[in-house]
Amino acid sequence: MIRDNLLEVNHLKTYFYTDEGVVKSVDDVSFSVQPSRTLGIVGESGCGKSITLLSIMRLIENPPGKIVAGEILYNGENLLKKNKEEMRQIRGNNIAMIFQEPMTSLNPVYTIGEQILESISIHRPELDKGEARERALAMLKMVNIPMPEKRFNEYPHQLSGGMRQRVMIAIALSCEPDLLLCDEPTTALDVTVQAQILELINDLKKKARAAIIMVTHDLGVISEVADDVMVMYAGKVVEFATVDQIFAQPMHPYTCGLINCIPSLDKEVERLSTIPGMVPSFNEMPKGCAFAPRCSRATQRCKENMPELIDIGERKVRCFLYEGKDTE
Amino acid sequence: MKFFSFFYRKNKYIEDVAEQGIEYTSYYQDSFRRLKKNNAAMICLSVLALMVLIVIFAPWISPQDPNAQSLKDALRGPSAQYFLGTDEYGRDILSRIIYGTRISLSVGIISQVLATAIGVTMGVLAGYYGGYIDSLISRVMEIFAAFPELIFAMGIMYVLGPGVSNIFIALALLSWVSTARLIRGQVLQLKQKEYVEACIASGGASFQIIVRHLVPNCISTIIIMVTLGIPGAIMSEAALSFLGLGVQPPTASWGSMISAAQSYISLIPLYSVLPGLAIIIVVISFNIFGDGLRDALDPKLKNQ
Amino acid sequence: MLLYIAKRLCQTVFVLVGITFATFCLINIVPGDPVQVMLEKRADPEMIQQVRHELGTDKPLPEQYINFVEGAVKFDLGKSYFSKEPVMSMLLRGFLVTAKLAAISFLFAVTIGISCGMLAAIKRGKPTDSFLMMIAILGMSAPSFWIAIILQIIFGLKLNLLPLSGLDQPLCYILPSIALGTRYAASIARITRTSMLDVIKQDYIRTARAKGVKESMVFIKHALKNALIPIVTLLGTQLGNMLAGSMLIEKVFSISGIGKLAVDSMTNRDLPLVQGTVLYIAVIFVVINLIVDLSYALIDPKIRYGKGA
Repeated sequence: MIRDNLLEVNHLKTYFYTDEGVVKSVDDVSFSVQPSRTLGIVGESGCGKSITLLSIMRLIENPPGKIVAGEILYNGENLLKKNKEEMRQIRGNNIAMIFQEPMTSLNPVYTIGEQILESISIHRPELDKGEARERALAMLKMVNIPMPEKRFNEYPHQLSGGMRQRVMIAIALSCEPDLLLCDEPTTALDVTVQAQILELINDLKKKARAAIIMVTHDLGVISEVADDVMVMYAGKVVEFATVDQIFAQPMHPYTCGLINCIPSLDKEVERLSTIPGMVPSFNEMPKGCAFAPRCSRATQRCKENMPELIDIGERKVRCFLYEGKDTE
Repeated sequence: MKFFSFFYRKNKYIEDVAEQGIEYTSYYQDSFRRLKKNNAAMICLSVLALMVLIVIFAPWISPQDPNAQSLKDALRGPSAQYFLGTDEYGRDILSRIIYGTRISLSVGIISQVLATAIGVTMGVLAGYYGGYIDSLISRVMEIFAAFPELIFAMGIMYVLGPGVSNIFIALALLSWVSTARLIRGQVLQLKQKEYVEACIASGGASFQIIVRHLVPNCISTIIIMVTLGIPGAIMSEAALSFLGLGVQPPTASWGSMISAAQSYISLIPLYSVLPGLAIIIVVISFNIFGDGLRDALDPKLKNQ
Repeated sequence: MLLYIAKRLCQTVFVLVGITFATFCLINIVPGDPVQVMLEKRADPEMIQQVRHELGTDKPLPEQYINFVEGAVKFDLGKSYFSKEPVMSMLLRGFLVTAKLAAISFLFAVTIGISCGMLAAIKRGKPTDSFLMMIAILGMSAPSFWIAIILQIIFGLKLNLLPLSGLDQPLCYILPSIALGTRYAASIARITRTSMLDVIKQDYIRTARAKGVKESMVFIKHALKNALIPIVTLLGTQLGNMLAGSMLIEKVFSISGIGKLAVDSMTNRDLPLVQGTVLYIAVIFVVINLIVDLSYALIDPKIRYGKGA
């Protein structure tokens, strides 16, 4: 099945140049997203998930960070070729982003209303004050904030974390973006609030036909919202598949490990399985597969050579175990 | 451009990423390594070392007796005999500047050591005991801080009368408050650390807790406060002497030299320019070195 | 909010009482009898006694203190020993001159300081930043009276552009204001930069950028307002220090402001005048700091709504 890609990222490389050396936070990552679909990006902290999103927004701090290669095609146009002003017009208008920390992501010295209005007034200058306010209030209603008129004039510190994240979503959606980037939007929230926010995001996808990229380390979140899943490890894509395939039949040992980490109510297990070790830091990156030191199925070859990303039907996986199965 | 690298602040990302890679080294080793990398701070440290040498060897370095008058040579420009010219009494300006280093550095260092002694004692007492003692000390600090610096120093000098040793006292009284405030805050934080709580709970003697646990943990703050306090004290001394309330003639001090030179700016401008340059060199060296020391010892203090 | 104001006002009243007490002590622990100083040792005991009675210095100390506070509140601190003029009128005259000078320097320092600090923060790590910070640290390390003399030499003597002393025409204000303001401009620039860099790292700045806010507006609208609290704190202390620091500049440019009054009174040991200048400079300083603290409420909604008090 061929769909039109809203966003297509090809061979993206984002590096950070530090005193201690070059950190390849995003290393040759390619993927695409279609309208009305959600791509989930999973991995432990420090895998380059968030940096991938910030690269799409072109919000990488430079120095030390830099997008060194690749292309990011949005509706066929390369965002990396846009100048600052063009990029600014796209941000918040066509592509919007929700961040991990609702507690600190809103400016403490401006009211909720002012912060939503700002985004509307930047990208919809044709609206007059009344219309803009109307729209901002409508956004607050849409994200299920009770008493929007009252909240409109309140400051962020007067709202709970869940409410603030709703405000963030309202800001992000205020100009009807067709691509919404979510960077762990529920990590900092209570479980019940998490569920509400995810439901809200799912609703919005249906209503607004937007494409969503959801970055998370929580496979539970992925199972609820994602259509496709991309697993990242140490800056590289290690597996790509649909959400059903991933949960039914994970291929990469890292994905298997992640799925085995989810506590299950069905099975009686004595202890939760974990993946031993940690994501290697950039200056102790192994020569071969980055996951090899932690992998129970690693061979000598894994330690010496980096496997390529191989296509298996519509899936992709970066592991020697699946070599030779790639042509079916 | 390397010299300017001191001003370059590390970005959050670098620090996050770099943290993973650095092997564990002891706190002071690590600080010293950071300090050594800071070229500007190291240059300033060597300037200061040079100044200390000048202070010690002043009698051997100065070409003339700083107080020897020779009225017939008064207000001359630079010559072979008087390298930087002479003042209104025909005294050698270079020698007077060299001897002025003694006043400046000793005022800076001694007053700050005194201030730190008072400040640390008061800060630890207020922070450790809390309650009445804390309120009392805090109120006293508020009153001390209620006067603008210069007026305060002048008031104390007025009471004590002019003279170098009185300047030590006046400037110590001026600057202990900021040290005390910082130390008090730190002690309040430390008191909540488990190991100090454990010590208090297990009935450790207060004095022992203070000396063993509290003061050593404040050492880096203390070092930073002394280093960054010195340039302020040197400036205050210069200001007091300039106003005639500080070092008294004929003792050579940079501030009083500028004061005297002011009458002769059209005749011999160099006379007023040079002592000022000396002040700038010392003060800037302490400022940059102190900043470097602060960044190396305790990056968190940057904003205080 | 009300609690915050009430707390702050109580503290101010307490500090003001403390100041009168400190000033009173200052005068009464000075070695030597002021009356003897005043009468220059020629006077006979009877005359000394009489003058003491006139000045009220023969009463017990607590009573003297009460009289002093009463005088301070009523703005009546007696007459100068030397000019025989009421202290308050001398102070007022001097204060007006100094206030004008300090206000101009303050404006100069704030404009230059904040804009240079912002610019350095925007260009962080670049040569502009390094250059501005070098200048700032130089400006902080140069004594104001020395800068004043250098300015006199360059613009007054060599270029013959600006008047060397006095304050009788608007042009006269230029050099003293620059000399007085430079140091403060430098420290304002430094704290603005640090505070801005701190704020720029915050998540809400990233949010603003993600919204498509113009980079200049990110700095001016989103960052500066948050960075303002440490800057405003510094401004308060500095305005007060500037009033006191102006005495150095007044000496260089022969301006008869409150600073000159303070220095002269101290060198002449003119007690009532010393008391008056020290007391009222401190009072102004405290009041400025009170205003600054209250102005936080305007900047930070957390304080306005009672959480940050």
